[in-house]
Amino acid sequence: MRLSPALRRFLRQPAAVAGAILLLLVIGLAASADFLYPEDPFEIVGRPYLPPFTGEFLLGTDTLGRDLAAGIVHGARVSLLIGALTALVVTAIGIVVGGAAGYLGGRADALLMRFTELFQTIPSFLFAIVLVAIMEPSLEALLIAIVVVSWAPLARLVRAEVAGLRNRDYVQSAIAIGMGDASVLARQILPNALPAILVAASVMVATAILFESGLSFLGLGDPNVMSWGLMIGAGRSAIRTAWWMSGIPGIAILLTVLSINLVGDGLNEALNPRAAGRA
Amino acid sequence: MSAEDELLAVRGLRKYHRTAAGIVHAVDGVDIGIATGEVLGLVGESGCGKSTLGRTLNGLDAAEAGSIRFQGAELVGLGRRALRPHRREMQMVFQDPFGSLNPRDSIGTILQDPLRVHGVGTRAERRDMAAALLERVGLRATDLDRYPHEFSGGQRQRISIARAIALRPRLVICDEAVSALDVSIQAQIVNLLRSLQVEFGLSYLFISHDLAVVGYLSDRIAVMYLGRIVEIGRKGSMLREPRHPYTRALFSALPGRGGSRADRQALRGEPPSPLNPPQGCRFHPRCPVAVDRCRVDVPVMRELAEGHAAACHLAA
Repeated sequence: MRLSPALRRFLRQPAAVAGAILLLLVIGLAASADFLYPEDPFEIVGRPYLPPFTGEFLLGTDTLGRDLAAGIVHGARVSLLIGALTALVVTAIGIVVGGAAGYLGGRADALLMRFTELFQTIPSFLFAIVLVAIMEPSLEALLIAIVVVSWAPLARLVRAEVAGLRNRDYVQSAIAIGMGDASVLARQILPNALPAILVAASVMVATAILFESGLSFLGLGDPNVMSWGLMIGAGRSAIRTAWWMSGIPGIAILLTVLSINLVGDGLNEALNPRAAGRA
Repeated sequence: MSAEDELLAVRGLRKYHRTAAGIVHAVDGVDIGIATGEVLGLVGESGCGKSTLGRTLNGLDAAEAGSIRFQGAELVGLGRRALRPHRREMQMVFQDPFGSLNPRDSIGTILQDPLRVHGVGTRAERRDMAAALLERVGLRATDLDRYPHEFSGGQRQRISIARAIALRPRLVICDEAVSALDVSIQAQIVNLLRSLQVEFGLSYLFISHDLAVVGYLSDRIAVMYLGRIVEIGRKGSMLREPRHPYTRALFSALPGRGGSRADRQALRGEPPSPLNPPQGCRFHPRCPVAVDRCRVDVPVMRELAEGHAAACHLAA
């Protein structure tokens, strides 16, 4: 019953609804990849350098004659998987680290936040490259690297939210009643911090997709998994003669990230009544 | 007051806040006692440490030094777990009726939380108890399924009070419990507090800067200035014959008291910073009758009449 006004506020925003529809479309494509293009997207299926919208291949073929449409659809899976898993793991770490720091305060807070800042001071993309280079190139390696370089801002956000909510009278009342620390955090503080965390996590999905694309473009992704970054990297050498080989996966990244950001903004408006101009 | 009916006995209580600017002596050596069924009013200007005193008594802030004996048991130094059984008997009502209820919990959840935490009754029994509490404070049992934002400030404060008495405590600390409400609503809440006190034999520590409300509700009144109690006594003798110059100035501001306009004493200046309290008597920089001794010697509490004590060199 508390969700419905938030949902209504979300649906009142055309940009957010457009983003949600676009995102659902991408998710739908990723989910039906095996049905639409059952063959391996690495398979050579036709003549190379076929432009899009001309022949039997909707989006054309790449330098080796692989179907770009198959690559886009299968690549959507990787992007969404990495994006969603990163957001999930980062949120979990953020809640544990930020929650502990914000709730306990004092020395524990100082210690945890200095540790968090350590991760924030290292340029994240370079750090991710180093991490992936150390590990075997695989999806897990990508995931670990992206999580390691991007958990810190979320932990700081959770900490700020929790520290702010901790001094609210209703939290103090719960402590005065004799409620245990874990219950106070889980039942009184986190539910009220959730809107902010949710918005940050949704933006995290988009950032993670960009990281994955960037790393795959550099050839640091899993070479056996078709991804948008990998496609751009492969088409890069032919960009002057065949723009579509890197252009189409580029557009796919752009639209997906855009849709997620639109949804994130919409969530922010819907879940944060103050930002929506209400009392 | 004999030792056996003393519910709460506080001796030499200190609580400092360590801030970037230095140490704030929020509570700096407080002695008070509250008897069973008694209402002690605690008055003082903003920032004098009244709220910190209330929070420290309840264990929300850890005391620096001193002793809090509640029903004969020492509370200072107890951890969260050891404090839990005592918390059942000592509850708090906060000032802000809009901040003291979790916006995401229904009224039913809010009222059942204390019962659940202390393992009182079964789920169904707890719901019945919550409904009874709600009706006792003047709301309807059907309000259990509603959320805090659906209620007015006065109604929310009724809910806060219902939560505070859910466990049938002996002592309720009311920290500016009616200060944020409209005057007409204040009277209703004050009357509710009074009737609950009679019905359940509650004791209150009623913290407020509003002398009229304190005067109405209290049996005894304590006056706090810069972290210390400067005067304490029965309501009648406090209002009739305040001994401490600070109390006199404070009470002369009450309408209908203190005789002619010329008798009223306006306090000069702001209270000094609790970061760096004055030497000697803390009130001396603003005191109209201060002498040299006040700048050097710290006055101790002296009993000037039966049950009426003040910390002033000059008071008699």
